[in-house]
Order: sequence, then C-alpha cells, then structure tokens
Amino acid sequence: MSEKPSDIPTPVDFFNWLNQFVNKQTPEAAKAAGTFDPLNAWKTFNEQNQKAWSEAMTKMKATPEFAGALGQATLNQAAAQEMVRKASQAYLEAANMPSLDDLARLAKLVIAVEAKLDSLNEKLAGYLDRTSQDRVVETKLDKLAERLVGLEAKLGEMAETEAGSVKIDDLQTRLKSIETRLDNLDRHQAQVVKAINSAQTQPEKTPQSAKPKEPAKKPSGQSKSQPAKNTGNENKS
Amino acid sequence: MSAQRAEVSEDEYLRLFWQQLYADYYRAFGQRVVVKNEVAVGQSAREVIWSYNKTSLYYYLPAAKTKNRYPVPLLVIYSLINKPYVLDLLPETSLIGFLLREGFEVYLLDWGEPGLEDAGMLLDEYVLDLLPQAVKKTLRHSKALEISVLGYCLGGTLLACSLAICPQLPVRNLILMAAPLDFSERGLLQVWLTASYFDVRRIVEAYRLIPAELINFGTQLLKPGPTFFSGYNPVLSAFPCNKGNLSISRLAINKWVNDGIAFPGAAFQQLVEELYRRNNLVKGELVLRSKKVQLANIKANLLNIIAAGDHIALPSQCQPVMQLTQSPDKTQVVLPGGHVGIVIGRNASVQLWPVLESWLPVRST
Repeated sequence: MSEKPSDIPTPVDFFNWLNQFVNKQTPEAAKAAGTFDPLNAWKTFNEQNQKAWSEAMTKMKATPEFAGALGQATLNQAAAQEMVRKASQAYLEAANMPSLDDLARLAKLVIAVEAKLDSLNEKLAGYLDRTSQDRVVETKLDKLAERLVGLEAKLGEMAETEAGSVKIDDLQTRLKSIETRLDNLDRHQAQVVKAINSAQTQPEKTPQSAKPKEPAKKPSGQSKSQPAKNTGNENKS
Repeated sequence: MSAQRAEVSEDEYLRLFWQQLYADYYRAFGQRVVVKNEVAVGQSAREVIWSYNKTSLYYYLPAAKTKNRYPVPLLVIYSLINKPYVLDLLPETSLIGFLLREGFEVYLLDWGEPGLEDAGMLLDEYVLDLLPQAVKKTLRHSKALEISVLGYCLGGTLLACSLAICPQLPVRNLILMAAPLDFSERGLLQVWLTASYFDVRRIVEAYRLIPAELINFGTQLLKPGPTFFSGYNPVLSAFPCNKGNLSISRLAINKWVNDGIAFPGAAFQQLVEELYRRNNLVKGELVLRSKKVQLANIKANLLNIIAAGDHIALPSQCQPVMQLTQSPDKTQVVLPGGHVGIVIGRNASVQLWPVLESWLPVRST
C-alpha cells in the first residue's frame, strides 16, 4: 500500500479552511459592510423550520391513526427480533454452543451468589457495628476499673501512714454522723407520710368538716385580690 | 460557554466535531451509531462504596474548597432511563460539583446497565431492596443519623414509593426533581400507550429487555424538533457566527442523549400498566410485594421541583405530590425549562442551584 500523499487535504484541513473563510463573514462584518449574511439567514430559517415541523408533527402524533401505526410498527419490530432470537438460539443449540439465554442463566446464578454475599456482608457490618459499640462500653469500663484500682491503691497508702489512718477515722466518723442524720430524716418523713395518710382516710363527719380549711390569716395591710408575696423562705426550709 | 470551549484545543474540538457529525449522520439514517463521542463527562472524583448486580453506590470525594460542611449527607437517585452522568456532565455545569462545593457529602445511586438476566426485575426490587439498601449503606459510610435524598425523573418516583413503603428510613429531606407521580394526564402517551394500540405484554415478551433504542426513539418522538434535527446543529454551531453555540457542552449533551440503556421488561410492563394506564400510585392502589404504596406515609421535608416546559414528566404529573404527602414542610418550585434543561441547561446555575442553595442547607444542619 502506498502512503497517502501529503498534499491531499483531510476533512479537518477542509474544515479549518472553511472555518477561516467563514470567520471573515461574521454577522458584525456583514452588517458593517452592509452585505447579506447567508449563514445567519440559514440559521433563522432552520430555527423557524424546526418549530413549524415540530408543531405540525405534534398535531399529527396525537391522532389515533398515528398511535395505531406506531404500536403496530413496534410490535412488528419486536416480532422480527423475537424470530431472529429464536432462530439464532436454535442454531447455537444445534452447534452445541451457549446462547445468550444460557449466559443470562449463568449470570443469574452469579447474582444469586452475590445476593448471599451481600447479605453476609450486611450481617457482618451489623455485627461489627454492635461490636464496636460494645468495645466503646468495654473501654469505658476498663478506664473506670483503672481509676478504681488507683483509688484503692491511694487508700491503701493512706491507711498505711498514721496521718492517713487518722484521716480515714475522721472520714468514718463524719460518714456515721451523716448516716444518723439521714436516718432521722427518714423517720421524720415516715411520720409525716403517716400523718397525711391518716388525715386523708378520716371519715367526713359533718358537711362543715368537708370544707377546705381557710387559708392562714393574711397580714392586715394585704388586700384580698393580691396574691401572697413570695417571701423567699419556702425553699430555705 | 466560551470558557468550556477554551478547555479543549482546536484540534481536539475538531476531532470531536467530526466524530459527532459522523454519529449524527448514522443516526439520521436510522443506523446504529458506530462512532462513540469521546467528550469527557462525569469528571468529579468518586469511589464505589457498594455494588450489587449492576447497581453501584458512588461516594463523591469532597471538594477542596467548600463554604460549609453539612452533617446530613445527600443521596441522589437517578432515573432508569439513560445514564446518571447527566448530573455531572461537565465541571462548570455539574449539579454534583455544585453540591460538593456547597459542602454536602454527595452519594449517587447508579442502577447500571441491565443485562438479559435482569429482564425479570420488577419495580419492587428497586423500591424495596436496592433503594433502602443504598440509604443504609450511605448512612453507614457517612456515619450520619439522617440523610437527604434527591430523586430525578423516574428516580424520584421510585424514591417516593420507597419512602411510602418504608417510612422508618431516616430521611430528613426529600427533593423530587421532575418526578412524575400522577399519571391521570399523560400528554401524547395517553394515546400511544392505550392498550388497543400498544400491546405491552407482547412487546415485553418478544424483547424481554426493552432496547435503549426503542426507549430513546419514544422519548425523542415526543418532541422531535430539537432531537431528530440536532444532527444539523453541530454544523451550524461550528461556524463563528454562532459562537454562542460553539461549545463542548453541545457535544456532551449529544453524547448523553444517545447513550441510552435498556429497560428491564418486567419493570417496563409494570410502569406502563400500573402507573401510566391505571394510575395506581396516586390512587393508593399500587401494590409492591404485597405492600400498598401510600404516599401519605411520607413525612420528610419536601422540595418539589417542576420544569414548566417538561414534555416527559408533565408539570401536572409532578404537582399532586404536594397534596398527597404528610410532610410538615413542603415547598414547590416551578422552573422555566425542559426535563433535562433544568439540570444541564445554561440557566441551571442561575435557576436550579439557587433553589437548592436556599432550601437544603438550612435543613441539613
């Protein structure tokens, strides 16, 4: 084969030449020169042409005849396609070669395996998520345990020294006094609860007794419509 | 646009231009496109964090410079038609790029290209298996307690179904973008998909996997003007008098439009019969794996974005979701533009992005 002579222009060369030629014919240049711009006219014509065609076709396409023809054409094409497929399948079968259907069946098996893998992957990811959460809790517990060990060691050290044991004794005494106070409070609370319960369970003797108790007498200077001022002592008790 | 043009060298642009012209020529004569358009699309850095069958869940690496960092990640669900790189088409016009720059953690669920083995896949599997799994995986990866979800086109429809059946999914914000839910008005499809003209059962039986070409033909036939005649546009746009159109973005859009994927037959039949013909979703009669889809179960904050000039998901199909959900916080925005135009059009950055910028951050803290 002989090589292509270099002086024969390629389509790209031609296009470059055309581009340079038309570059001189820009609408601005044409306008300035007062000449007719054929390319712009062609563009306008093309745009209007497209629009007109589009409108005409839209009207035509909405007719039942068109829809019927379109449906029939699609059906015919599908039937032809099916015929070719069946013929090639029969040929491939006779030639003992895998058909597209065989490959599709194989692909389905691969997809089924992939589905199982994906399901396993999902389960594993869920398990790892839970494990990582467990690990976070575990780490926190480990840290707490470490701190406890540290505290224990410190307490041990303190118990060994005389000053430390004194401090611990002191702490023990204070704890005992707190405990006693708490017990007292507990007893007091139990008494109060008992008193309230007994007051509630008392039978109503007279209609008057059913009336709610009148509020404590207000200070003389306070009008009835005014709400009782918060003295700020309630919380202190 | 001129900035995009400057990204490729003159030689590179010419090479891509001829490729596109060649592809358009073949397309114009009804033949399979043999030359692939090589414009670089979907350039945001990402990694796969989960994959199952053909489905992949992508995590987009955070942008270096961001305004904020929001703790609630965003999961984007794309349609079952065409490929999701339209949301990350070119760096300057990328919706995903914008969300990353805003400071969101962005995840994208890509359904992938179904094969013959997936022909029997029903909508049930998308709604009840893949979507909830994707939400769980996103939560695990981001270590967040709640997420925001954005469903575009049919992705929004699937998302709404999923949230309606699985209200326990921790979704705080739901963004539906050109997502059709009410099929009582179907435009041209009302006539085309009538049972007496379109025997969906027979077609699915014959094809099993509805070819991308058929889906593409159907969507392009809805509005043939800008699509069927687009083969002439690159010729025109290449001339200096049309410098406004002379951009790599046109090539990228052309690439996406012609880069369709097949549709699983079983799901297609379900879509046509259950949704388009019987309109079971808004009636509350759609049953997926013996579970009724009740849109009233949706309680997430809702942003419903509608494209005023949408010929695929008609505004009347997208609007009723506002009355059907129980979301306490509902916002509806109607943007000028078409189905795809609101995402990738020149005005996306001045119309769609500000809407997201004002709605999502305040609900993601």
